[in-house]
Amino acid sequence: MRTHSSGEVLSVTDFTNLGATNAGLFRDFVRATLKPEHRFIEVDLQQANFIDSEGLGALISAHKSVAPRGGCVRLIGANAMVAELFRLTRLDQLFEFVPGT
Amino acid sequence: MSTVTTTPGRSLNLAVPCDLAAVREAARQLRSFLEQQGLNGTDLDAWELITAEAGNNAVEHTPPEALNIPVELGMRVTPSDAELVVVDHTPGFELPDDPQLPDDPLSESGRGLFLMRALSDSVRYLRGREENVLVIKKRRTSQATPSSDPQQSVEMAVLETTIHTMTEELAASYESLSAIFRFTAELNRGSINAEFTERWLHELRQIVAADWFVLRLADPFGALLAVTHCSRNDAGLPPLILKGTTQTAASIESRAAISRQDMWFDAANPFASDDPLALFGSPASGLAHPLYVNTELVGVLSVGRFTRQHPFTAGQVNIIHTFADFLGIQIRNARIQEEHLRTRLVTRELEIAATIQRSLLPVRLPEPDGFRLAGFCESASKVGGDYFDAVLVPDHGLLLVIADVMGKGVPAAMFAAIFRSHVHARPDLAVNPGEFLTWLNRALYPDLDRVEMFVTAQVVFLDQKRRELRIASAGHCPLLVRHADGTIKEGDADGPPLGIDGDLVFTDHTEPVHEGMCFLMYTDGLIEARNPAGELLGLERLKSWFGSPHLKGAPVAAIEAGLVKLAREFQGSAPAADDLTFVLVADDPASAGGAHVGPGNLHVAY
Repeated sequence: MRTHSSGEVLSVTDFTNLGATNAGLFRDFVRATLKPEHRFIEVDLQQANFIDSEGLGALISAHKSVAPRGGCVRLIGANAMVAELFRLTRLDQLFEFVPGT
Repeated sequence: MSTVTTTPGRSLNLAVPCDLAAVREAARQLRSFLEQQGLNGTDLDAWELITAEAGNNAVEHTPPEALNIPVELGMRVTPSDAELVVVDHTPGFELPDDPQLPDDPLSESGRGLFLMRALSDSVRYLRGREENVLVIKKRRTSQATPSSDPQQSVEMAVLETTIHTMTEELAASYESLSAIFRFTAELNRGSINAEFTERWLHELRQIVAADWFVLRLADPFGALLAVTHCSRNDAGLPPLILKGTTQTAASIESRAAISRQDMWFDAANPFASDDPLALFGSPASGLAHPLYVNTELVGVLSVGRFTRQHPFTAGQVNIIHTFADFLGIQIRNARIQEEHLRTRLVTRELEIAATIQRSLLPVRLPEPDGFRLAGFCESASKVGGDYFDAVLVPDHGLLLVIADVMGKGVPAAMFAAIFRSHVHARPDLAVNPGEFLTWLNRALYPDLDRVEMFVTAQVVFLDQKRRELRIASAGHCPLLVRHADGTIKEGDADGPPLGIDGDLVFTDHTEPVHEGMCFLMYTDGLIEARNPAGELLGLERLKSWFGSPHLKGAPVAAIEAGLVKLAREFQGSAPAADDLTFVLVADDPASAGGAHVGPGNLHVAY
């Protein structure tokens, strides 16, 4: 898992799943690298083929850290299964979905 | 990660260390297994997530002392569906019928159960003492094609093993189901009784291979638990008073009743030395299960074994719950029926007593020449203790009696009946009310004293020839006399009530009857009527109304109606607490010259 900062965007990349085993790590990465100027967190899900309820919790945590700044979390390239998970849990309204490259 | 594949082919069982990474890896392995069985991508994604969620729960809620016990995950596949079985060693949880998403959409947890349920067709959770079993089932979205596997014979053997296991489970379920059917059939032939419950509990003991049981039933207030059935006849277990909290209650059975949860006993939770169940000795393992129907405590069933080596399995605990809860409902229903029957009997008794009491009252009041009478009697409950009577004494005048037996219901009505028979037994004493009361008191005292009741009474003899009233009173409300000019005179309250002292002597006093005079006899229900603010109507208010100018020259029926109106308007919406009884007698020269036979002058309301 890696993070990259560019202007008001913090990007999180390089992970293949987001679940109970690494949700804590995700939170720590975001907490450690989020700067006051970051209004958007872009999470690259292009390689992620699995997210569980704890992974969703980690993404909600990220949302709560930027929403007060008028920002949001952008989910890049979510696959069909992952997108379905967000729809099922009615979290699809909370995040901005962006097609992958 | 240690993985144990116990059976190849159509089922895969894994025992993995109790940590998140291990169950995540197990979820991947089970996905691969399902892929080999021909499940499609959608099913595979769903199962991987279901397995991960179930495994995460099993790991995250395991207490530190059980972390060394593996989590078991088993997947079984049939041509139509797949079933995941997860055995955990957590304290367990209550699985809601329909798990929901968290109320707060920004909650960072609380979606696991919802996802498991949303992605599957059924989720069951069987709680046991040392293990719990989660069973999740899901139909396959595409049906399997017939296998062309060269190892078909091996698979057939595996399938047979699976069928055999399922048959065993079915047989256990069948035992409990067939017992319930027999139970129901027997209940249809009659209500539940002690002998039947005893048989039922012995049957349960055999099915779950228990060594002993104790059934305690709660009293109607849920404050006391008394033993009704025990596998040891000589146990002599004392009743339990329910007090304290789950932590402080003295016994395991009390704690189960108070907490409304199963309480377990085993090596880790032995009986306290003063716990009644300690009678069964040590070692022991088992549970105390509270029997609740809705919020009502029916009792507590405790079932145990003389061993700590083989605690009840989750399936056996499930059977105990089914038996106990079913039994609780039947006991509760039987109690409701019994209560209903008792209420009906009491209602019927009251109806009979009310009929008797009504029969005590005169059908209409006799009216001697020159006088008009009006009476009113309304009972606050179905049966009260008020009584009044008017008896013509030929060639002399009219005897009027009003009495109030202290107390209500059947006993008061019965004493009113006894009082009436005494009144009618000695008409010769009517002309001397004081002497009459002295005799009544002496005659009634032994009975009244025995049941600690007493009677207030007023006896008035209206002497037509002398045109005077002779009045005697035993602790009764004062007679009110209204003269033609509206002035009110209050009669003396002469003596104590009847039944206080058997040797009392009552006296009477005389009041001349003037033209246009009217007098009122009544019970305390009239002056003690309360308005919604709780104020009493009171004697002064009554006197003020009785003396008001608008009653001058009014017919006695109109005064009666006015008095009823006064009491009712004063009470307003407040419920009547006592009977309302009064008699009015008015001098009316216009009625002289023969017995009056007008419309009924007595109004009885129930």
